[in-house]
Amino acid sequence: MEELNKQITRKKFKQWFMLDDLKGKVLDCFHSDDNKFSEYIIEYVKMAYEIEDSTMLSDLPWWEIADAFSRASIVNLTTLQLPMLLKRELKKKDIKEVTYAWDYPERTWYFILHQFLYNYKWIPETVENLDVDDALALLQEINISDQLEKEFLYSLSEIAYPYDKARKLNVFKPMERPEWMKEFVKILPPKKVKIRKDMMPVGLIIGSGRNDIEH
Amino acid sequence: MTLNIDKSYKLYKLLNPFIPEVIENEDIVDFSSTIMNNIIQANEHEKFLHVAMLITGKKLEDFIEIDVNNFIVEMLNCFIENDIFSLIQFYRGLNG
Repeated sequence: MEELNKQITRKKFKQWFMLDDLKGKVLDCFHSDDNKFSEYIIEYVKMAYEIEDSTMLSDLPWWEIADAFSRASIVNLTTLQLPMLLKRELKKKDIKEVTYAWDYPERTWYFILHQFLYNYKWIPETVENLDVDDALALLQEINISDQLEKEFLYSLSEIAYPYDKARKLNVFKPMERPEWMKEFVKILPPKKVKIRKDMMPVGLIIGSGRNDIEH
Repeated sequence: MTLNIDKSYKLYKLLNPFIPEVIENEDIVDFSSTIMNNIIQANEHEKFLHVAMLITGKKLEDFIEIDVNNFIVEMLNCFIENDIFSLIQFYRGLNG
């Protein structure tokens, strides 16, 4: 199909966001063995290549769709390594899926749009046509400012200083930060150190994993 | 039979549990034989019927009995025509 061979460029923010959302659905369906996989991947290709009549796409050989999908995915990658977008390994107990009464499937875009409009007083078209990297970097800054402002307000309240019975005084307890704003703490394996023989415990060491050793 | 994206996805999902993690030798006959052996060893013979339905486009009631030789030829042709190794590579790429 001729339209699939054309050169494409990275989409502007709103279109990119919609594509990224579709890609998420493609991958979710793939991992959950959902038959909607092909529906979403065709939808993705249709949007990425701006194809008006997509009826032909489902009849094309698989490799044409696969190739078009792969190329569009690469073109639409972000170039900035934003901490907000980096995956961190979360413990199971930290993953909370909260659904609010005001949630609906398309809300994420409006939530993001609202953050821009609220903070920068822009019109929606400006946000929609932002470069993806600029938009995401600004979004991260908005989130940082928001968090730091909340932390400042929190530090002025009494709940930030719970009473420590052991020390008999109120101690400042910092406000919890989102996972991506926490500092990376690299846990290194313990260093091997040599211990003088006369510093070793004296007697028979049982259960050392080797044959019992006597010092 | 050239597979569209939907059928290629279904074929991958059907065969995936029986595809070796590392494909050392990209020989279509060896590969098909490995897949078939793995299906037999897993005692999931009904998968042959599912694959046959998928690659021929026939319905369940059309299969009174499967001619093994015909099935093997059809499967080999399908694997060759659809470049099965690229197909596996594409879907494995989606894994992560």
